[in-house]
Formats: sequence, structure tokens, C-alpha cells
Amino acid sequence: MQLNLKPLREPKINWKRGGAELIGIALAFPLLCAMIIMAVGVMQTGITRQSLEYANYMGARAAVTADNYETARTQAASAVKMTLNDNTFGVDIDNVSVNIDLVAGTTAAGSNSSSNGITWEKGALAKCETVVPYKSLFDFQEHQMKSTLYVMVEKPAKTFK
Amino acid sequence: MKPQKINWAQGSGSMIIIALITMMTIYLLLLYMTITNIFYAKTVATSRTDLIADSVAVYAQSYDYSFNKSRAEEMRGVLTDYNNTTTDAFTISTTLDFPEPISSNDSIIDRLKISSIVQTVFWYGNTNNYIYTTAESIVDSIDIWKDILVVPDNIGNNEHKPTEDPITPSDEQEDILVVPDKTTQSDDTKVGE
Repeated sequence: MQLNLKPLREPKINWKRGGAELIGIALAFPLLCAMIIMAVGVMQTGITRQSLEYANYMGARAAVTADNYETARTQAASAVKMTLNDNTFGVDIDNVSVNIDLVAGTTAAGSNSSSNGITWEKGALAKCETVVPYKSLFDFQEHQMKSTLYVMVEKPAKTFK
Repeated sequence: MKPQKINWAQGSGSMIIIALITMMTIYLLLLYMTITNIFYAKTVATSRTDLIADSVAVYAQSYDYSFNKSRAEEMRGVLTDYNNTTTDAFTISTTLDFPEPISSNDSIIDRLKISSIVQTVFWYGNTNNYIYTTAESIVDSIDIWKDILVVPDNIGNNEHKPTEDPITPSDEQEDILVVPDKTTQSDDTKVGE
């Protein structure tokens, strides 16, 4: 058997061939990138929506066990922001708005009342609303997402003389 | 100079592959959005059920490990109605049950169970198909004097007992417990029909 001992020549690359492949990729690449960004944007929206519901729930739970209206607002805001900070991305935590309002209960003169005069006490109904501004990767615009729930205030209960 | 001929047949491979990848991505996105919707419904169901159960239990708590059942039913209805006014994205319906009491430390402890069904649309804008998610929350009763107001012995004063009737609302207090206008669900409502 005879061995072919000719030195290997470097293959010549014909750059003109395959040019259409490059054009094809160049045309489709932006579309592919847009799809990936869109996928991340949809994921971001889904995660933010779930986290917002959970954060609002945590805020409401923190609020209803407070002794007075002001403490409830502070505790709710802290709980919501802490929860959102751990579970979301693209959310400006400093601009998250947490509102606690009393919507039903008894009115009485006193400092422990909401703006509409309802007293913060066991049995009153509180509306907990969280608004989250976030920059969507879907369209690069700022959007707002809102969650509202109602819960009963648990403290302070009426006392015995 | 002659215009260069372009052979469009060449390069179609990458176009086809990228078109396939794009279609697959769109399909996965739709799948993901549907799953997200289901998870959202589950989050709403668990959080609302837990909050309603806690509120109902606190509102209906009576002495000696028992619940006031009519008060429990009242608060369940009010909270369900209110929580249905918050958004059109879901509808929640709840039921209240009182499972068999349990005994612990020579006491019979009442229990209450809130079961909820959350209905959301299967696909955004499609009002014909719905997702139904269920959740349950059981709360045990406590003795509000023995279990909450007992202070450790080293502090003393562990004999908290009600000595008089509770304070009744004074004349200037106005009861404004209002049921919201939009009452979309009740116990008997069958969702999705």
C-alpha cells in the first residue's frame, strides 16, 4: 500500500458562497432577540403579579395586628416592600405605594381613626392596596400593577371596665 | 457591470431554523402565560382564604374555645363580598363549615373551615373558559382569656377574668358596617355556569 505523503494544502475559503446564509441570519437575528426579550418580559410580568399579591397579603397581615392606624400603615409598608424586594426584578421599591384605609366600622372622635373617621379597632374592615410601578422588558415602558384586598382589623378589641 | 444574481435557495436553512425557533418560543410563551395565570389564581385563592379565615375566626371568637357561628357567617359573607369588588380578574366564592371539634387538655376546641373557589379566565379576554382553583383554611378556636391574656407568673397578674359586660357602643358612635354594592358571589353561587 502506498501512502500519500503530499503536504496538506490549506483549504481555500470561498467567502462568496454562503453569503445568503449570513443575510438570512442577519435578517432573522433581530426577530430572535425580540422573542427572547419578550419571553423575559412576560416572565417578569408574571412573577411581579404573583409577588404583588403575596406582598399585599403580607402587608395586610402585618397591618391588622397593629394597635393603631399609624402603626398599621407603617408595618404594612415595611412588610410589602421587604417582600417585593426579595421576589421581584425591575421594580422600583422606593416608589411602591401601600395604602391602608378603613372602609367599614364605627366612627368615634379620637386620634386612632382613618381619614374618613372610622376607628381602628377589632371588627373594622380595612382595605389594603399596593401599587407597584415597574419597567417592563416587554415594551420598555413604565407600567403600574395594583392589588387590593379587604381584611378585618384584629386589634385592639373592646376592653372590659 | 452586470447586476449580481442572488441565489435565494441558498441560506434558506438558517431562515427555516430560526422560524422554527421563533414558533417554538411563541408556543412556550403562550404555555408560560397560561401557567402564570394558574399560579396567579392559586396565589389569590390561598391568600384570600387565609385572610378571610383569620378574620372570621377573630371576629367569631367566643370564650371557652368556642366560635359564635352566626358572627362567623356574617363576617365570611361581608369579606367575600368586599374582596369580589376589587378586580374583574377573578371571582372568589367561599363556604364556611364547622368540622368536628377536637379535644385537647380536657377542653373541647371548636374549629372552623373556610373553603374557597377562585375563578379566573383561562386566557386573557376569553370569557368562555375558566380556571377554577380551590383552597382551604382551618382555624382552631382558643380561649381568649386563658390563652391570650395569661401573663407569666414572674410578672404576676395572671387572673384576667371578665368582670363586667363589655362596653357597648356609645350613643355618638355610628355603626356604618356596609355591604358593598357589587355582591357577585355567595355560598350558593356556582361559578363558571
